[in-house]
Amino acid sequence: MSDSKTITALEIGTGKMQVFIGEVVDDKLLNFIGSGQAATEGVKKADIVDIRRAASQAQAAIVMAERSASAQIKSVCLGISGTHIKGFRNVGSANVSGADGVVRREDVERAKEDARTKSLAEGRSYIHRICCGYYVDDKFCTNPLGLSGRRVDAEYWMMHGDNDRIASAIHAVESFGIEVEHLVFSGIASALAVTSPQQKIDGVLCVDIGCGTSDYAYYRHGHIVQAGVIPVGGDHITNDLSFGIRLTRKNSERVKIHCGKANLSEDERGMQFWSLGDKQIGDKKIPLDAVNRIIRARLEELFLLLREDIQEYLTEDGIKEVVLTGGTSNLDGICELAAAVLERPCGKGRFDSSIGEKLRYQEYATALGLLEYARIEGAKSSRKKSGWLGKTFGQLFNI
Amino acid sequence: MPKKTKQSVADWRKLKEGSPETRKKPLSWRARFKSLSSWIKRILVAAVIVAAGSGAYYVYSNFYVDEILSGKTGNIKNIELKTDGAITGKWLGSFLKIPPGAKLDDINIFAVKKSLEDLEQVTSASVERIYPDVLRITITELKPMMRVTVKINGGPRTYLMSPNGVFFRPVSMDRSFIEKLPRIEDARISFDGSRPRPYANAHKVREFLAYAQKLMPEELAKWRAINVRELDSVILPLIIVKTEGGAQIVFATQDYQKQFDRLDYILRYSQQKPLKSIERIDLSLKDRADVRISDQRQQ
Repeated sequence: MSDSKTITALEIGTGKMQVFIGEVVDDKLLNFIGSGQAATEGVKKADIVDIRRAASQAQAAIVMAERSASAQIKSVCLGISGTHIKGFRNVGSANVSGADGVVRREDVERAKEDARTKSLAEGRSYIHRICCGYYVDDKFCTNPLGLSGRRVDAEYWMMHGDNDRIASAIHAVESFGIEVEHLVFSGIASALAVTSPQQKIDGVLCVDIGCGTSDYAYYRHGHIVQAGVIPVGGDHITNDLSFGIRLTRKNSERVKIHCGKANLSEDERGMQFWSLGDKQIGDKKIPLDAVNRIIRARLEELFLLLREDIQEYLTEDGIKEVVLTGGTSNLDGICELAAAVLERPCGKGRFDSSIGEKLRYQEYATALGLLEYARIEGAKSSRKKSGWLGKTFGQLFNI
Repeated sequence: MPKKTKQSVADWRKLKEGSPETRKKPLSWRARFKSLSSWIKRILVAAVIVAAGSGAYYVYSNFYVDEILSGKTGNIKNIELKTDGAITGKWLGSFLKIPPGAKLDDINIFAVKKSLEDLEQVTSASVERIYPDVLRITITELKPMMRVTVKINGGPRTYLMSPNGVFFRPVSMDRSFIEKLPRIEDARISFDGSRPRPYANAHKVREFLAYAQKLMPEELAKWRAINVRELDSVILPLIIVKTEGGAQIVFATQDYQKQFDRLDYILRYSQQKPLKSIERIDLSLKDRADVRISDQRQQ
């Protein structure tokens, strides 16, 4: 008999609240069954500044998704971003205890424990503690069990955030009776949706350019190596256009979406377009080149900031490919610009073939990744709880 | 550089589980409802656990679980009777007919309880096995106040009436005791099947007898019958007492104190004077008593 359960992804972005509901069959097959979306309020640069307004909009998105899926949401996998999120690499060590010098499970566990238990500054909490691989006598390996050596090291990527902001995000959801089951850094979720396992083994940098911030995650050997947040996003481009070509924010956003390009061909440089399009009073002709220069300047800044963060991995053995995703990655020519600044081949995120046509949009990458994350974690916990006894007691005490 | 402090590893889930600062109040009705239902569930689970625990403790402390489980129950050595009435252990033994050497576990305590409660005199009965060898029977009985003899199926049958007006057939009572109880006469008794329905004016008779018991107990012992034919009268309800000497004493149903004072005076007067054959004393008149002597002289 097949076993199915409903999982929900909630992305509280700067521009929109996105909810996806999926049904997981036998912990393997993920079927998309509904979605909801609401314009974000009370959020600035991915940080919640007005919890009531943010909670209200999140609730609107959730209710819409519930109606769409005809299912009641009990828990969500929540995506979190914001400039308060930081990461660092931490290595835990343990001497190999066996006289024969063979690494055993206990040695690995001690090394992992040593890495995971690093204290944070007051007011900070871990969001992720992800194992990136192991070193046996300074030689990298993905599974040290059975190898010979004197010392085993476990390398972790630790992501942490500000307690108040994390609590606000959680409270915005839990304040209407829905549990936050998983909290996931949006950059990791996006990478899960638009990069393949092989890309992660080869070395891929996934950049999710959102409205308020850009989240990135770099994978190598199939594990995360670094992740972080750049405080520049699509909204900055809209603001720049608003000031640069003297349009309202609404019109600037429209110009960005319809005429914005990160790279222009020679033919396009001389072109102009009507700012409002109705050729009435107030409408004016704007050179495409001017728009391009504004967009390009901001995107160059973004990629330069990103380059500073990941400088140490821009080596022969480091990042092999850059993948752009998020709503702003829809700008024409952005990949060429990113490739020029980061000096790596760059392309847009490619979704798995199992994802339906109507979901294959870069702005859905985070929410889709969150669904996938929830599915993977659900499968892990199902394996732990397998057996009728575990399930019975799990249900009994799930008050 | 942020100041680092020694602390346990902080994880976002700890924020969720929550210290009082981080745990905030629900904003929506849905959350409030969920929170409330969660508390109700917890309380119910706690109540079930407490009830199960109490039940287990009660069973352990009252039902001699060890003895039952070990099978060490023996023959009944004693039937312990507790009653507030007239039933005696001897009568009970003959009624229950428990064979000598019967095992405590072999007694059907529910059947015993039912057979006792089927007796009209018994209002409630509880039967317990006190391991290893005692059968405890606790009975609550109706108390007799008066007696009445009615004809059922052509034959006379004696019923006793409790202070609440309930009629019952007496068991385990001496005939002499029953015959000493005053008879109730001319009561309108209706039947429910073969059993008389409770007497509606019992409370009036009870009040009257309580006064008599309090003020003239020696005289009460001489009363043989109480006629309640006029008790239902709307104009002047009366209670007519018949003494063992054949005299009638008529009482109104109010101001008993005054009437008994008058009766006391009349009886003392009659002893002082040679007026031994009083036929009727009417105490129901307002300011005087009417005494009829058997030689027809009135005083």
